[in-house]
Amino acid sequence: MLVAGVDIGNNTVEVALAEVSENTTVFISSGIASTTGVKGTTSNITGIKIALSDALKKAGIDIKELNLIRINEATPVISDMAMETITETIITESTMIGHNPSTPGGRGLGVGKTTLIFHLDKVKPGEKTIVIVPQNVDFEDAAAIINAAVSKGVQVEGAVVQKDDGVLISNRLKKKVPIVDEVAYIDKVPLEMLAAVEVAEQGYTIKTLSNPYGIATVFNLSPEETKNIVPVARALIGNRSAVVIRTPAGDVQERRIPAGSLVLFGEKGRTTVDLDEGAKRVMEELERIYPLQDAQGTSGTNVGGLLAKIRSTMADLTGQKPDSIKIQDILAVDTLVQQKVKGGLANEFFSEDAVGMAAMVKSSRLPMEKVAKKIEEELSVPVHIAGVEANMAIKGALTTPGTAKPLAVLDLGGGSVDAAYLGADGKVRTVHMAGAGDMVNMLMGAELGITDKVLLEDLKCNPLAKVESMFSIRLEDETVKFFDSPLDPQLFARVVILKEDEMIPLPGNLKLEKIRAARRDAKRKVFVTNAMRALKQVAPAGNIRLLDFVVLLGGSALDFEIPEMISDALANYGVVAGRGNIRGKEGPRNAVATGLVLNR
Amino acid sequence: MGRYDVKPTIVIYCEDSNMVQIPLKKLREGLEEEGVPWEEKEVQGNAQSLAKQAAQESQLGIGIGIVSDGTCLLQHSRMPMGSPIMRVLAGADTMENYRVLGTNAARLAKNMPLKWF
Repeated sequence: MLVAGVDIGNNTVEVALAEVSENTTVFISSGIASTTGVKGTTSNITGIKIALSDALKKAGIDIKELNLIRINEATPVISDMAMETITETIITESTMIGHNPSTPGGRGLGVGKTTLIFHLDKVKPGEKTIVIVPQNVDFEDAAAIINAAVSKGVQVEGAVVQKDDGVLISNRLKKKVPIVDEVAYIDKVPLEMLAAVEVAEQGYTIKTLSNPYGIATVFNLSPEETKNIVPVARALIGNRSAVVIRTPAGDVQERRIPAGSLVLFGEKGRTTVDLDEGAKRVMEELERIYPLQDAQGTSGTNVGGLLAKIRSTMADLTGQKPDSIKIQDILAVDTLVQQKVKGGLANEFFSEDAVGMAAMVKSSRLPMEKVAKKIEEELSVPVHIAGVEANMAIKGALTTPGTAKPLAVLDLGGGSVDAAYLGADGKVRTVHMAGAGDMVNMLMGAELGITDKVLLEDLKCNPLAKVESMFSIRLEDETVKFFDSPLDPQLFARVVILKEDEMIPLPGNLKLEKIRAARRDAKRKVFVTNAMRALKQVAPAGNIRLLDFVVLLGGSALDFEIPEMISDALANYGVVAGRGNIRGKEGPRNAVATGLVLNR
Repeated sequence: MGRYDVKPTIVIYCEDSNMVQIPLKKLREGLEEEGVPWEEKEVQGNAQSLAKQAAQESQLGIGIGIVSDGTCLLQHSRMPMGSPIMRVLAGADTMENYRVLGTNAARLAKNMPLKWF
């Protein structure tokens, strides 16, 4: 009898094709396709057909010869995620410029009144001045005007320039002054105000304007005013150049957005956590009251909005009312978000604190009967709903060479991390944790300021390299790889993603180390945390040490570093953990489909 | 000339500097703003061979060739003749393109990502 096991997952449909007789099962081929529509709905049929024909084609078998299709009873678990920033930097009345242009001019510190270059001839001799140069002034003219003013006795102390002309102007000045250039919104620089311009030597960072007492000295501030200037100084730390302008009501505020509190309803009572206390605290409280029955956020605050967002997506997906959606698990993660500073003069970006959160709900049982009937109609092959997803996954996982009962599987997916444990007594325990591959993408995107979803997926799944010359790249492990033919000049000196034979350049001036750290942090925060949480739930007596074998399954188990991270973390508990190899050849894929075929 | 006497510079070969005064000025601006030294010489030839020869002459392996109609190529000594790093064609939309080419020549030397117009 020719049997096809079909596993409909959140992201992929997997098929295992086998010849099943009285007491033998011979696997013939496997197939895979993307899931079409939401898992458990009749729109899945297209994806199922593609996956089936993929397997059949590999085996050279016509669909008419297929005797039976077995599909799984899909776990009705859907997860979603959202992110909210909890700090915000606002520059009021244009008090500072801190964008760090690559080639500022001159060096040192200059203090004076901001004056437009066209009005320089009206400045009295002896007056200290900071010249503002808009883009319609050529650098040669600018230098000539400044030189003329200086020879008249005006004390030009520094300049702020719109175009990338800092070095050019500086080279033409008789008296060198610090010049900050590439200031995009120069028209917003307040005039007739006391300002300080600082440019550090190449390879150094500014000293005065990044120090609150430095600014206090420059502007003669009172202790009270010095307190207020702290965020400005903090924002400028690490820059090679900066401008601080003293305006009557000017300020840089680091506003903490009231993040609100989260109420967790668990079987062992309820608890309230302030999100300001951080994601770690949320997770501790959650563990205390686990299992979770529902979660709510104070309305009108960020958590409230965050959970409402998740609830309404869930409601759309499941066709239930938002109020009746019960949140069954939460993963909160502290992170940083690259955000454009409000009121900035030169497109400054700061890292703001944020909390990312994934939530999971159990919906009512997914209508798999409908899907089964539809397949029967369209393919005229009998369809059986042959087993629960988790049990099938374990059956499939046991085909990995070197595994034995009792066994735990960790299914690392896109939306959730699922664990199942098969005890020596043959009983199976399962658990689903919110947050997986998609959340990694969200966290990386926020921290690196990348919004392109395709690029983020590539960034997650592939290692990086830095193009060092026209013919060579340096890989993440510091080794160098040479090429016979020259690389595309577009890639020169950039950080690239190594995707198979392709190199995808990353935007901006992100450093390789920073991107790599963000990628690995996001993976660790989501997958290692969830793997531990999930295994604690299913392990005998809640003790991970009592597990012997853990098999990693699912799309994210194919990742080049996630399985190692989890194995590493589990090694501390004396657990054998590794990527599954279904039927000794499928890798971590096809476990459920294989289990379905084996389930008789 | 001993090898330690030669200053590392970007080399510009120009067919006739009088014919391309503005493009040359813009090229120099780009180089100067980025702070990389350069040398100029008048040499006869087409844009490709000028750029290639300049790159070979340059201690940094970076050369710019510009001919009288304004065609300008940025070349690296290890790149084949037919594929320059960047080019500005005769009758360029804006003179600023020459400055970008100058900037990129310098960035090539500094190992920084290039600018594109």
